[in-house]
Amino acid sequence: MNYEMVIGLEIHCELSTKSKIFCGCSTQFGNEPNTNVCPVCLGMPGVLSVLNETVVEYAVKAGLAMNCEIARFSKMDRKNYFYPDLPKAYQVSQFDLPICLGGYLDIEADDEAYRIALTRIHIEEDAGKLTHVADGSLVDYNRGGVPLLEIVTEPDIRSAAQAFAFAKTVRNILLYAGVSDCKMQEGSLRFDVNLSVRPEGQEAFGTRTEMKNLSSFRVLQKAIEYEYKRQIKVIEAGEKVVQETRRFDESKGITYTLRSKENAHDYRYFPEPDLLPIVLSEDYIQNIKSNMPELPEEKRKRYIEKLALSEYDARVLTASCELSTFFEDVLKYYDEAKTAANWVLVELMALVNQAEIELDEIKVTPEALAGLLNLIKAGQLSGKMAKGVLEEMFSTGRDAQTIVKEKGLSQISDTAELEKIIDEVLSNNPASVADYQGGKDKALGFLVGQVMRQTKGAANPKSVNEILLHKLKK
Amino acid sequence: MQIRIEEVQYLAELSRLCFDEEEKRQMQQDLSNIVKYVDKLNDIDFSGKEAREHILPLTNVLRKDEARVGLSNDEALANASQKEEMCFKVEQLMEDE
Repeated sequence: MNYEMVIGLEIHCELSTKSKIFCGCSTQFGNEPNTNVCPVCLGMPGVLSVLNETVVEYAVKAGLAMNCEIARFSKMDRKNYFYPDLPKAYQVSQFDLPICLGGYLDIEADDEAYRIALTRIHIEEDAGKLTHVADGSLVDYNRGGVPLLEIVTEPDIRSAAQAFAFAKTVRNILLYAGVSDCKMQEGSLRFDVNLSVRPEGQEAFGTRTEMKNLSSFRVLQKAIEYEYKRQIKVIEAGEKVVQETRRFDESKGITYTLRSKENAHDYRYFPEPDLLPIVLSEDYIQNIKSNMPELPEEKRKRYIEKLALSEYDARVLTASCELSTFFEDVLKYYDEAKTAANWVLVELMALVNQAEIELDEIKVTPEALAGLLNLIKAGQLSGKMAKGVLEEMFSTGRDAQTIVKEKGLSQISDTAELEKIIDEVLSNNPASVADYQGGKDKALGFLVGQVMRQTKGAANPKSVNEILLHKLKK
Repeated sequence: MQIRIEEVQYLAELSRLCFDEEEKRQMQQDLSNIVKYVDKLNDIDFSGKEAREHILPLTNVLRKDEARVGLSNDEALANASQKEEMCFKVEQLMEDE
């Protein structure tokens, strides 16, 4: 029997505010443990939380970017559970009146388009970080109180590839909206997966399990693939899938039961009395709407209409905020959009992929790439030579001018110099000259090749052709 | 409304509290009285009154997004019964084993 998987995702995203959601502690990552803390985020008695206005603004921005309805009235609630990463024994979150409702995102997976509906987006505080040691656990509350968005989808996702594409799209939108740095390695973006399987054609959902805190796209995909197979195995063995929280063990590639005690899920939500309701006016929302950064869809259109890029190039560039930002930064120093797109997407990305690193880790700056392209434009480098220079720039981080000077590279466009070389080639290859003049056009290619060889590829091919044709006509 | 003894037990588990039988009966009594007290609200006529989400007539109490220095690590850990490597130390957690 074939089984269909049904997935709903919850995505947690840390907002890039300077201070925490309810107190003025810094949100900076990587500081020494328990140094970004104060009585409020440590949950000491007698303190009063006050909501950070930028958290509200960012949540509205994210909601607008994901086609949500923005709630005119929302409030905060307490979600109660005992775990040492929560100093108050409750997490301040939103329960029945979240800040963004509904919404959707269009994604592409396996060459098909899908629309994934969102249930809601709400704001909440992050928990602290636990490190397990031999005889206990160490708790660092620097992360406790960092503002989070929780983006919840409907159970609309049907494959690991769709989940992957959706997660990537969300990350991209959040980056474009400028509300989060989405640094995966710092845990700024984490995924919870609710997954069930059902026989193909069956309407009713099966029993779902939840996998929490998956911290990379690869892990998200692997965990889904494993859990899908595991549930099918359970069903085919005549057993029942148990509703529970499971953890994905990255090194072993399996999931295991984490929490099956049912009452652990009774969070006893109640309204947070220390925080007041959030009421948003039409003006407030309109103002954010009119100051929204350009989102991928608009950007793609502009690339095609204004920059005359191909549909394909525009799509690939805008599918990554880092990539389109890099491309646009190149255009600050270089004016041929099509050539720039080509060099970024083909030559540069080939090196990035080969090195297995991310675009934001490379040593070539957009300005440096523009510098290289300007050398080609000025006729000082051939495309072929420039590729070599780019490789050198990529591995050393030095700029094109320096490398060209140092290696004595420069394209020979000097007609007098080229004529000298060409005369030499012609007198050394009388047979080819005769062939060409006898009507064999192919011989021209051979002669061009000889000139390029003589100059070690440094001759401007366009000039070589022109001079050769001119001389052969005589 | 009478609170059942099983509900007391359930709440105790969620609250990480341990009661003996006598304490449970006492707790059942106290909780039932509290709920009964809240039941008094049913006698009040609320017609014409709008529901409120908060007791105070205020909304949008917000602060600017500005970071400031909080406690030092020593101050933060001053009352911790166990500490190690600048962190609070707690007993090993069963769930993650």
